[in-house]
Amino acid sequence: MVSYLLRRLPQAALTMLVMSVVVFVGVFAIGNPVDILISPQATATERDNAIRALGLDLPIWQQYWSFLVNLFQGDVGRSFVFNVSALHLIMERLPATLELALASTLLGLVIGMPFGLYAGLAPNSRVSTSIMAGSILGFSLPSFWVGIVMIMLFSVHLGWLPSGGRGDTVYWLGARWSFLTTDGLAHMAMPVLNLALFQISMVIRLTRAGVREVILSDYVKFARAKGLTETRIILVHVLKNILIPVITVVGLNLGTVIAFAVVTETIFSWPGMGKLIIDSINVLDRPVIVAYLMLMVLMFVVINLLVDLAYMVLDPRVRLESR
Amino acid sequence: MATSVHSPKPEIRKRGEQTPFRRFVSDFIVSRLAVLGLFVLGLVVLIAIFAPLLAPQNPYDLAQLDILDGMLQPGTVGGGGYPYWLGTDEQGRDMLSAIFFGLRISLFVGLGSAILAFVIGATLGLTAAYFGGKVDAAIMRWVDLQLSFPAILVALLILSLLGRGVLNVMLALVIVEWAYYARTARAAALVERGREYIEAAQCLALPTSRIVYRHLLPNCLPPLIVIGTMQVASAIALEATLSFLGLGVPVTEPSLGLLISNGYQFMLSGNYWVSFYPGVALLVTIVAINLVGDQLRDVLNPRLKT
Amino acid sequence: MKTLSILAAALLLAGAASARTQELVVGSQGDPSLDPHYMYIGTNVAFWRHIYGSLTMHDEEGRIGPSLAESYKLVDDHTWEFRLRDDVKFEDGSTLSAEDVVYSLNRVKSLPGNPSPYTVRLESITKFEAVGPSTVRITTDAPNPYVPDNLSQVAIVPQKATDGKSTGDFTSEAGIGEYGPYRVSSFSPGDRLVLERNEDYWGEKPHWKRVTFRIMPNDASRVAALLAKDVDLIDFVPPSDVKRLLETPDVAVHDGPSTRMIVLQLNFRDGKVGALTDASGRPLEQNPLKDLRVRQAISKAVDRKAIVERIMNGAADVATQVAMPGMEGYDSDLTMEAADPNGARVLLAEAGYPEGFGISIACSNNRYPNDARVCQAVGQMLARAGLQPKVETQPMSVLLKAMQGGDFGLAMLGMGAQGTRPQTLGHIVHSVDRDAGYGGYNFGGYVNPALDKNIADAVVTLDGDQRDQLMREAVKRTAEEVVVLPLYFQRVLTASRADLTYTTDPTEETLTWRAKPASK
Repeated sequence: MVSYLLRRLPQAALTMLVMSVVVFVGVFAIGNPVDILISPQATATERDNAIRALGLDLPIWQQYWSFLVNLFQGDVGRSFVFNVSALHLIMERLPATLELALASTLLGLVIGMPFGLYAGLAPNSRVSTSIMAGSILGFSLPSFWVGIVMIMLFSVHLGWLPSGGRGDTVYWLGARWSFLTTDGLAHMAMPVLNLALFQISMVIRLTRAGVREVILSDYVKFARAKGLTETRIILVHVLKNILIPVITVVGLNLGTVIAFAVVTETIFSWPGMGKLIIDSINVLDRPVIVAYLMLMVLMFVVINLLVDLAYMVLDPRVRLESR
Repeated sequence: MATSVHSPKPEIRKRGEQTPFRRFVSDFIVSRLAVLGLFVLGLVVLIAIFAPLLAPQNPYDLAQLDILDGMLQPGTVGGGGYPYWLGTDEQGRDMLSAIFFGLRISLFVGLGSAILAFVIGATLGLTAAYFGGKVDAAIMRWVDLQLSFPAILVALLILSLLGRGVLNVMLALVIVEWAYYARTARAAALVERGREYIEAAQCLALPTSRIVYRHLLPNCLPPLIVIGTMQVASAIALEATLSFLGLGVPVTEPSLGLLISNGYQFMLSGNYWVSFYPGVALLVTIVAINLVGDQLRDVLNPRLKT
Repeated sequence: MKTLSILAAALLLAGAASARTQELVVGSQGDPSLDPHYMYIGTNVAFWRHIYGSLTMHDEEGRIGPSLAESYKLVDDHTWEFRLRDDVKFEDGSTLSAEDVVYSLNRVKSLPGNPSPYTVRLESITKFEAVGPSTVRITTDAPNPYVPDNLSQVAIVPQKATDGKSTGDFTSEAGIGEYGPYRVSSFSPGDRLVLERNEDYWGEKPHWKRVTFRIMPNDASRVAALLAKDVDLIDFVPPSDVKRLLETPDVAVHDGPSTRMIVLQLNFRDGKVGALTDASGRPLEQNPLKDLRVRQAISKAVDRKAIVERIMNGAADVATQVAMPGMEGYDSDLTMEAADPNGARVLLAEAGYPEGFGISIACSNNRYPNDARVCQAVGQMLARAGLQPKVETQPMSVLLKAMQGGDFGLAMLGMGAQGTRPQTLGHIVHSVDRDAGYGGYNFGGYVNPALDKNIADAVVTLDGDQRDQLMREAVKRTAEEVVVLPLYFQRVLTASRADLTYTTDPTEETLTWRAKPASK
């Protein structure tokens, strides 16, 4: 286990290194942020000053080198647009996104698993067919479109839910959270549902697929032969086995959900990292883009690790140690 | 299981290639819903192929558009003398024609990128799982690298670099999606690898490629097909999202996704048809793909046979 | 059930209404920088006007007048003198002094790492000094009639409170040394900025005790928030939603002219241009846009009226020239001819292009209202005149790179006014002279020494009538030569609850004291 971790960490570091190079070169190639931000009447001197002040006049490898040097001193750079530490900027908005992503993942599991279980156990019933047909909707409609329809329905027409923003927040564990206030929860409802639609469908489908396979396996047949109750078979034998693919995909998907929050956050004016990153890409605020992506990589590496560990615990057939 | 009734007895298999195919067909048509899905999908593909013949207007020819015919209600007869059955958008684009043409682009982008990503991803995933060790580590770290880039951001960066374009979008989608197949293929193959039939095949000293493609691959297909059908759908949706964020296919040659995101801005103004009908077309297409995909998965899954 | 929810909604509304009589919630497109000298963009200016002030200030029509300076005058051709008010009180009880002004202007110049500095508004200023406790003298290297104009865009901050504070401090301390009509109560970046009325403010106190800016960059989100009654007022209303808002009974739309003109610039570069091709897509040997007849044909082909009516939903004014009424150089004799695709074909044939040619039109799709749509409409109009247009819309960050590389036939830009001076002249029409700050957006490489001289002479002419005359010549010549294709002037669109009035600002700044309860 420890040796596995030890092997995994340098790989993660390498991943992040490669990624930072790619992003550096990529953003460099798109253009110069000063050209987008500076006002048109700036003279050449003013433009050059601005470029020099941001260190953009140096050759790219030099910029990258100083980035690396600073990184090892724990500094990922300052945002061009806000002139504050990019990491600070992201961390400030991380809780809002995390709150959204975790809540929607949870919602995905809570709604998706029972439906998927049912659809898998009674695959030919009319209800199951409806569930499966419904699940297709979850990932076929673009989320921005669903989002605006939700706003039209629940905010504009019915006036039940606020159209956007975070609402009242409570300070807890060093960050502000919406889910601890009723007003905050009301503000969360639509964005969370919007983000969860895809996951609900995904969990339903994965669960159903898993159940259908497991139910035919020898050990379930054996369990049946032993005369165990159907409830016990489902809860112990079936559920335990379908957890693997579900956890893999849901786990892997958490990062994607966080990234996809870009769209949800834009529509619901949710002040998370997604909104920050899309604005940053628009004005080529490279330090923020790099810092954000580094953070994402880190998150993915950790998630991947956890998924692999979960594999080991849940499925003894997978022995990572032995290879 | 209903499907088991139609399964021929094992010894017939040896006779030739035609029989498994027949078995496959007879298994597939068990689900009426899947057959309906296949029918709709066929229809959609036909519409996409013959769009230039079916559409009253060529929405990609700017000279045929007239903003004076813009934002007409469904059913209005415009300057061209023919009715706009589904209305027009603000450029005077006949929505029916635009949907026909948009289907082409969306299907091309969605299927094309999914197939390419499938081939690349599955090959690398199986290779990693089968060989293990350094090969596995190398491939999987690459996969991790890919997966650690949120798909939508990678696509955004790639398109920022390459500019808008159908092929550019496809390339971006392949780059962001192949890793999902690779990871899934590896995960499934890892489990399969330890099973007796692989060990048996290895004992028989069958060539590696034969073991991988004839034994490992078919058994790893079901999860890959689940991912595959979902990825076709998500590729089409991702393309729409990219359009929403200002990149994607060219605005003068809209895909279904671009039509939806274009009309999105008119949702609040009450001109629902600009976004609604392309949405319906997208929905029907994706539902059909998934109905077929679902059934394929059930039919192809050897573990669902008794 | 239904009655219950209606009752509940009514109660909620009643509660909200009473709380809101003194409070205004704004759905705002911009995300503020609380350091008033960091990042010069229009929305930031609007924010700092709420909490600081400037020496001069424009009125609702855009005319410049005194503000923190009670008066100002020209001492000689190169020297301006500003006399400060003596009743501008800071938080600590001290009052505004000439030293604060000098300090502020210095801070503008020395603020580190600023990608868009306000120094562009200190153009041609070589020296500023305090010549008395409340007199500031400003020296320029050339006669500069625009000094009062320019200083209306530069914030003055108290030296004592802000000395040594970084941009980050302004954010983390939620405002430092505010003395304007409002003080910052709380700031949550990307989410909201809450302001409380400053009861010690020197000027007219605004009606609203408390103003909350909810930051909503997405257009549809702002409209939805207003319709859902989550906010009282929204800025930058998308033109396509105006009709819907006008039809909504409890919503009012306030519009007014903007100085921002949408213009298409042409590519004048020599030799082959990749974006100008023959029918098979190969670049033409000669740049056809160098032929005046071709430029006239393109201008003739574009139906500006249809664009304004159909794409902009009437929320724009057709531009007849690069200036609008009230701007320097506006010539009321200049008109924009009606669109004439057939006339355009004739001109193209005369110029030797009877079959037209391929031309790319490069536009942003996230910068100006409906930019990508206008671009497509221009495309179809050119197609009808026999050209083979290729419409390319991209986010501004990507577009700018293509434009800098000269990879376009026509390119769309939005140009605001700098005070009363039409910006298009200096930035697109004037040849590129980076040191003098000319031609910053002249990506097409247009050069006309006579026009250059005209423009350069005008901006150093102190006499208003004479300057106007020179500008008018430049405007006229630009129109005759078809250097750019002026399309339309945008309109400032703001919407609010029906029981509010609001006066828009031609500089597109959202100033909440302009919103007042409608008198019954």
